[in-house]
Amino acid sequence: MKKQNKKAVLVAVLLGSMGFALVNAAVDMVAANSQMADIALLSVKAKSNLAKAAKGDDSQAILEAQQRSAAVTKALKAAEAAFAKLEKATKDADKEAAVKELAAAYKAAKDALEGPLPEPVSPKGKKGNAYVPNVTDTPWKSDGARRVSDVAFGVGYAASGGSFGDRDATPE
Amino acid sequence: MNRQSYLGLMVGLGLMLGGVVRADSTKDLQAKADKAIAVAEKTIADVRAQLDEHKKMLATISTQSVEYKEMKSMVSKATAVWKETTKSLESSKKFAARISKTSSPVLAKKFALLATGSANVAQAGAKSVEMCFYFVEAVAAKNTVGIEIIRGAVLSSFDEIAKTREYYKQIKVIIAKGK
Repeated sequence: MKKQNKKAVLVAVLLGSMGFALVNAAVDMVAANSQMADIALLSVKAKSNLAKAAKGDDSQAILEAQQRSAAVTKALKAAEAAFAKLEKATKDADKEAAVKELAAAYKAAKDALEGPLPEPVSPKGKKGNAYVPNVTDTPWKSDGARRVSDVAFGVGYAASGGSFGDRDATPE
Repeated sequence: MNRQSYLGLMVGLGLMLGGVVRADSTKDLQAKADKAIAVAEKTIADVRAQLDEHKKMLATISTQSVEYKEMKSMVSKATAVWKETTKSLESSKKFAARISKTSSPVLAKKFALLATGSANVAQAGAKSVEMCFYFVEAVAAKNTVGIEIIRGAVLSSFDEIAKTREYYKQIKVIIAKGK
């Protein structure tokens, strides 16, 4: 190839690359918003799977769906933190780091929903929620056993004059 | 071959290659958007198919029960979500139809993002309405554990749908500004 022709090819390649970079840079925030919307959708899907499992009586399936849903919610929170960083970032390096974090959160959410069962999310430093039922706890083997126990408790409670377990505060 | 014809050949080859790359990319974008729309359409169709059955189920639940009042409020939210859902599906179809019609790869990418985003909003909405059906089923079956879990799932799904919609709105704003 002649020297001049080589130059023409080089210029064409250079212009093409510049155009490609321009198009990609322009959709950065669009892509980030799109990824955030995708993660929120994954979270809705995880909740839907949990709700579907909860209407049945397979406690193992409910537990698995709860584990997956909690892991997706955790990934969504990580993604929101990464997105906030991206919005605030002014330096390119910070933007790149935030985009990587966002991509990692997206992968974590997708894996939590579709991949192998994730590790249970432990609420570190938080007290348990008394209003969230523990599906693994089956204190009553049958409704009959529960009724017998309830009646026995009721009889004891009535016999105690309705003050079962009530004690005066210690004087000190 | 003289210099002019060689250069002409190079330019022609470049245009051809450019066209092939663009066509492939537009094809991929179209396929991605079509897939998102197909998933949303299926989810919506599934919900529609369950509607009558759940209306009947709802009629069996005592209007005096606490859950009935709760369901009424849930159904009212779900109705609003459903309206948005069907609207989003229509928008996504309109955007998707424009992907392959445009000659600009930049515009094609934007239309694809709008089509996919809108389809995802529709899918999220349909999933949420479906979850309300699960709540009705749990109440009708007096499944107390199920009621608690589904209630939590439905309520947080409403928040997440709002988030999906907000991010999609941002996509539209950025694209409209031409950034």
